[in-house]
Amino acid sequence: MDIKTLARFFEEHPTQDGYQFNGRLSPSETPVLQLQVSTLQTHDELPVYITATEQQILCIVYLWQDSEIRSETRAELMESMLELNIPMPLSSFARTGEHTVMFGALHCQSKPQDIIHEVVTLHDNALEAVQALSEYLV
Amino acid sequence: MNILQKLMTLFRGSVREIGEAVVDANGTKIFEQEIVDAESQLKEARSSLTTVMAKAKQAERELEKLRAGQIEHEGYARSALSQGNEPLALEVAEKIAVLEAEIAEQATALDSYKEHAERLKAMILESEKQLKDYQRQLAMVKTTEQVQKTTAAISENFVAADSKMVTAKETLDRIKNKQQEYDDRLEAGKQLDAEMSGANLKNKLAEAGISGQKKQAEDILARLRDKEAIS
Repeated sequence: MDIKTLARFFEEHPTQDGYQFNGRLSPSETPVLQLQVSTLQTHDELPVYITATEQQILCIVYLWQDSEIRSETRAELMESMLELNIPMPLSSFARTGEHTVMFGALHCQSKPQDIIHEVVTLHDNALEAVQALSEYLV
Repeated sequence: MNILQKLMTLFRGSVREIGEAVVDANGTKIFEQEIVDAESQLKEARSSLTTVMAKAKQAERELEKLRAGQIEHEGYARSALSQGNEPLALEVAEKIAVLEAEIAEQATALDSYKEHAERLKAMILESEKQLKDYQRQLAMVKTTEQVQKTTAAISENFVAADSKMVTAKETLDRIKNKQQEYDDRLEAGKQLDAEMSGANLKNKLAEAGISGQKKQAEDILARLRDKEAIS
């Protein structure tokens, strides 16, 4: 499934499993779908960015930047993230440039239902992670 | 250096700016060319293997035929000998000698075909492994590029030019606000419920004559009657 098809899918089905999706597709050369995920209790705090390569669909949430990490607890934060990686369903912590991100990867042939499951899990994991690890951040 | 080591070196180095490709287009192209080469090598090896295996099959069949001929002629030779026909037996023996030479030749050919086939099979396995390796590496390089491009696209398209990406603190504040709002709504709902049920209780008590104006009026009357009685 390419990103444009996926964007159209979310446009046509904005509500799924009690979640509301608001998608925006970037006009850039590398198309990126920004999905804002809302529930009754949360409202698009952390957008999920979706992009596709030949092999996989990548769903990424940007958590924080290097400048937000309390430098004296940096090593502790890294260890905590590594420890949380396995217990956290479907999602993993990662870094790109100066950003700490959480991401999930799907096979490029995944069905919309799988992608929805991935996106909401990632979104909920990310919200929890930011709260859980906030003590290491300024 | 394996691909992860290369990527690590690049991450640790100066190429840290968002949008700057970790691996230049040239690197990707070299990879892609290596994959194309490996694929064509593999295709060639597979077609050679098919040819060699067909030749081996052919040699095997030929060998069987020759061996059958050898056994057949040995029978003829024995018959000729038992009839005492020495010259005929000799003639047959000469034929057997030719057959044996051909058998030896075919057997050598068969061995060499088989050996060649084994070599090709090993090479194909190796190429397949190599190809998978290249594809895995290419996927890593391309994904790295993709993530960088994605970050750049997000900065360009979704984040206002003058502001950086949302910070965790802002996210936390918003989560807190939203949670507070939700809690407030919940609390308001509870209060409303309580008030409603309080009103209900008053009504019920009044109906039962335990409280309310009717009860008050009755009490007053009773008090007055008592006073009357005393005076």
